[in-house]
Amino acid sequence: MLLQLKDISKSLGKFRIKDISVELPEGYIMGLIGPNGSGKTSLIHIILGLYKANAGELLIDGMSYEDSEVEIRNLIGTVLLDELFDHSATLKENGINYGAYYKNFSLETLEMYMKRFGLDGDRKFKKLSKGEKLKFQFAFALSYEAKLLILDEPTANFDPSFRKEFFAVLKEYIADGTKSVILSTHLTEDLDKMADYILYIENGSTIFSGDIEKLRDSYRLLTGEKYKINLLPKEQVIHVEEGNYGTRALVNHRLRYNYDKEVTVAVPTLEELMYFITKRDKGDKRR
Amino acid sequence: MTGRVIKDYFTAFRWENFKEKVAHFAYLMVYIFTVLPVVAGFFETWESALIYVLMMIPTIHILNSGSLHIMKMPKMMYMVPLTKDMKKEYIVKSALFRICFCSLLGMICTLPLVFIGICRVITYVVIAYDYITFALILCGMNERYGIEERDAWQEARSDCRGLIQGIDMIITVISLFGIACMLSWDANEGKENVYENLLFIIPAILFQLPLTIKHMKYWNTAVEKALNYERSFDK
Repeated sequence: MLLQLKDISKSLGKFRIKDISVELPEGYIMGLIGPNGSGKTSLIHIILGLYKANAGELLIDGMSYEDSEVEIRNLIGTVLLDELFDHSATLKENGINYGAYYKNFSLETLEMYMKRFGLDGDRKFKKLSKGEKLKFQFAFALSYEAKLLILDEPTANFDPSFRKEFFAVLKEYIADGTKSVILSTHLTEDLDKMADYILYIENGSTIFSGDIEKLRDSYRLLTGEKYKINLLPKEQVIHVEEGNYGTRALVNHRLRYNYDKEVTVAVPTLEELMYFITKRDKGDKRR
Repeated sequence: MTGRVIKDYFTAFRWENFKEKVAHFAYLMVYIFTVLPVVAGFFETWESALIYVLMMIPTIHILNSGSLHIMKMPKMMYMVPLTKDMKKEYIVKSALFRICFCSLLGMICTLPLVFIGICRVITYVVIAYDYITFALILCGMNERYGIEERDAWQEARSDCRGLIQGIDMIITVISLFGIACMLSWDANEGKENVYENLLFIIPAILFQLPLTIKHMKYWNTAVEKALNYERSFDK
């Protein structure tokens, strides 16, 4: 198991990450989703060893930060929204300066990815756009054979053509079955296609953690007449929303449950899931 | 590691960092190079102007260094595979380099005053002492006086470091300005002012030294804090 979080808790002022447990085996992509302020970035900081959890156990490739910090850091590649590199240095200089700390850093690999991502190694870091800075972080993370890539909302800053390239690189990256990716994003459409696991958190608590297929099997999105939707058992309904073309409801799906034939039943996308669950938690349950 | 420390010290002096404090910096420059010398009459003769400029250049450098070099590592250094000892080495070496560079700059800039004959050796020793103290309190473990404007008074209630640093800094600035005044009077009027010298030396020894020692007692705490990303960036 490449990543194991067991009952991780962390207090950050008034905000609290509560008992998050997740496991990610080698060769998979895990999507980390949740609304703004749900604790995604804080959780990533905990996984990166930047924040120390108040309780729980964190193991990366079976090692803990307390015992094997250097080994773990050699295994982790990161793309964060923070500007991590030296502004006044060129990309190549940054690569050489920071790459020197990594056991398996390869300047050739970095240059190969920079070329692939359309980055000029002689440009200064400060001259890059936000998206280019993230591309460079991504190229750097790929240059030292990291086993676990942790990416904090990079896709929103990528143009559509690079987003395709980005996911193609991720597919290549996990292809040999020894590496994994944690991808935090708001653009859940991409995760619908790519992710094998989903960790959905809200207000620091886990809403769902596990296989994406299991997630899809757990919920259904119903569309139909309002009175038909209202006939559903209350405990099954997560949130109901009335629209111009009928009423929609997200429900907990039970295997072999017979929905009314006049109600359209669909597997919700991640975006729809997030939307309805967030609405429910805001107490916006319209019935 | 030493090369990296020196490089990081100088690369911090870039416009992006000054930009965040441009109003503060502009105010400082205008005040130090126009209001203050005019009021105190430093620009009346070339000797007193020279004294003032030579003393204020390192002072401004220390003030800026104190605002730019916080006792913590660049963010990326928390991510790379470094042992705790290596991180500690970086933090401690960075602080020592800041202290040494800023103190030396003060001493080098004011040394010509001794050769010109404006400043006596005893006064120069006090000047050097002032610069060392100033560099120690402001550039050594300056986690309070940083780019991130922190509520120093609020924090001072819990561990009093902010308060000690603030008092020490004010005393040092007054002391440096006092020495500049004293030398300027020397240059303008050629009088022997041993008593005036003592007036500035005694408070310096009496107040600055114990305050600086008290402040430096928090050295290990500050280093431990700088080792911790969470406490350095997200408090």
